[in-house]
Amino acid sequence: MKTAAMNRPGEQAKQPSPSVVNPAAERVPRYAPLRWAPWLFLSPFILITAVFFFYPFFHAIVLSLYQTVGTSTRAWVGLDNFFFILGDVDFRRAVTNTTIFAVANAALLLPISLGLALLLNSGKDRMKGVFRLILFSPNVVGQIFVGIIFAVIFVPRYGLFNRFLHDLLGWGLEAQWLQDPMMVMPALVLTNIWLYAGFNMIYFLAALQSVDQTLVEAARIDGAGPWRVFLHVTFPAIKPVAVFVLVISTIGAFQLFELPFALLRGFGPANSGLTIVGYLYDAAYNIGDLGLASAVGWILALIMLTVSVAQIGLSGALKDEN
Amino acid sequence: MLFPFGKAPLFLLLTAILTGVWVLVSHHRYGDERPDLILTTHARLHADVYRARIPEFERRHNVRVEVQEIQQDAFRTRLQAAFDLGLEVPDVVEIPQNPAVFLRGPVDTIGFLDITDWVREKRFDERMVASRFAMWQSGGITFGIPHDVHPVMLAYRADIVEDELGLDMSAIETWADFVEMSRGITADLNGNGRMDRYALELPSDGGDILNILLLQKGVSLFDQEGEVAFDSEEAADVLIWYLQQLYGADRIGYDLGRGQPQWRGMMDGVVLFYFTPDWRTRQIEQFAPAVAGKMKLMALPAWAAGERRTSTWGATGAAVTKNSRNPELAKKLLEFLYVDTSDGGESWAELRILPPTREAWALPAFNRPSPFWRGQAILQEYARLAPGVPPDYVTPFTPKAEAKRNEAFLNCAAFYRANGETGLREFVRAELGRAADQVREVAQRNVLITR
Repeated sequence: MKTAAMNRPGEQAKQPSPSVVNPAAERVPRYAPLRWAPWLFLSPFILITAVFFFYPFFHAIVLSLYQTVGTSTRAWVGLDNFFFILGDVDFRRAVTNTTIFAVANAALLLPISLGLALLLNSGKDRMKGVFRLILFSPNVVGQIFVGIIFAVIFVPRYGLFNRFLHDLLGWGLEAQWLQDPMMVMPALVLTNIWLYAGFNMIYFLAALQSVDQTLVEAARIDGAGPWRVFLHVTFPAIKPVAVFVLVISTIGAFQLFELPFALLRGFGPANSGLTIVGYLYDAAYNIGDLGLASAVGWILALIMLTVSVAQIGLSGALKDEN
Repeated sequence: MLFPFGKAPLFLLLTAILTGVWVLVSHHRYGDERPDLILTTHARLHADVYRARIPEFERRHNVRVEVQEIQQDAFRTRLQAAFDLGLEVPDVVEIPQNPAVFLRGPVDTIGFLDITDWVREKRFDERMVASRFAMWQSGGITFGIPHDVHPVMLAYRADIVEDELGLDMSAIETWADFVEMSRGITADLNGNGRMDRYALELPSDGGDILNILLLQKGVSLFDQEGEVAFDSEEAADVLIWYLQQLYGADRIGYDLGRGQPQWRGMMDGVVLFYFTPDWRTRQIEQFAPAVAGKMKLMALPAWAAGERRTSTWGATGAAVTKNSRNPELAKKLLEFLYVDTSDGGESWAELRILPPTREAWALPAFNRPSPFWRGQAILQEYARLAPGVPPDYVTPFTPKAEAKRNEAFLNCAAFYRANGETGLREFVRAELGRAADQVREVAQRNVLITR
């Protein structure tokens, strides 16, 4: 509908004569939207977030200052939970394991995902959709199921992966992926790559498809090879998506729990599969100290916040393009 | 349209109203239709057996009982949360492994009913294997009764050991005898330089088998008072023996892994002897059908002549919840399922589990020869060993202690592979001591959790 504000300068808006009936005016709802309508529609979200996020979030601060047995019995300990956690050898192991996993995740999973996306993006045949489905499908299965399956695949002598390695390299038939503490983390990373490479690939693929092809063609005409085109045209274009994938992958890596728990049926030999969330679970559900678990939760939140801010800062994703 | 905010919000609002009404109505209907008792179990087999038996209980008491099957880890966390928040809980809960996580803290905060007097009145503590009550007691109060005894024997490929190799297993009395005999079993059969056959199943991370051997030697993670107890000299002896058999020059042990590869290895004859509690015989029958008629059971060799010839692996028990709407009826159900043998013990025989009640062991169902096991009446073999099953004391810190002991074991394994026997005992002692001290530190920290 054209309004007075949309008229050209100098043109006077024609006011409808009071005696003339405007058909559009008849379509206006009898009850004009109320001012509180947005709050009405937002209220379920606000209510749920307040009850299930903000209350637990801040209650956890209080709880982290107590030793507890369940929810009803507690004793004030001040910051002792935090001092204990920071001095606990198992927590340090959990942080080390989680950090190694997160770094390996960033160093291997993201390049593999990007590589797969580049391959799929360059193909032009009809099989592209099929490959996309195949590569994405492991993610549909879920971490618990994948953990159970890979526990069988990694078995010495009879495991599919060991047989494959043995046939390919003449090594690895007796490799104890899940029994040897040194092998547990590589097994976890391999499983995670299988599970999430296709998922991350979808993000990269979407980003690659939105890259301005005129810039690519211009670079090629100027004599740039495929690597230079990727480095100077494609990657800068998909950088915001790459940073996003890096941040969510890192957050996901720091929240790692189900996969090692299912793959190792616990935390693995010598706690080699113990993660920060695994440590939290142990404190809450095995030991039953919700205060200790809340303190772990807060430390984890701070670690994730720090790492995410550092990643975003270092990548320059928030810099003003102008 | 009269709704002022458009079609989509109207649709969302109607959906919210309809689903809200549906939830309210269905919850109300559930309240009306709730059975008189709800029993939860973690095992499908248990649930199947209970569902077959419960109609008899329902007829006797004119009540309705529902059996719910829930995955054990999920059940643990849900039950714990329900106890903490005072939510509705099942009347009878069957819990595998370690119930200590529910038995910590002041007695009045524990979600299970105190059944000490009932157990005494019914003389369950005398009629059942007493050691099996260990994990269901806290501060002298009994909160549950055991479902099983789970004595451990060695299952072996009799077709190879006895028929092919001509070995007489009745002559084996101690682990030293067994190791001596096993040297002739471990062999490179096809001459490709890699061993194809080993005597004994020994996981390379120690796992449950190390625990079985330690319990046989009388070493539990915690003692009766709940104090950490796995850093004893006896524990060091067992660890060293295990390492020698798994990594030594004359090794007899091999790790087949778990699940399908394990059964495949059993059928292929890669490993000939397996630690087998009663429940595992059913798994062998189910997952390794090719060894039917080729297997036999023997008592564990003792650590020294005349000592204990068995151990234990796993434990399930059940308790009545304090918030049960009908605790007396719940206790009757517990008695019916765990103690009553009016079905001639058939339900237990179906599970291949020996009940903890001694008087049941004489029933025909427990004396039936099994063709799979070369005519052995396997449950009777287990019954013979059951009185000697060692107690296994558990605390909320048991998972922590298991992890720490396992860590010590793996450090010792790395040391042994690098240095051999030199300095091994001192290293094992130091590692066990370090691991035990770490558990003590955690256990002593929370003043509210009784051990």
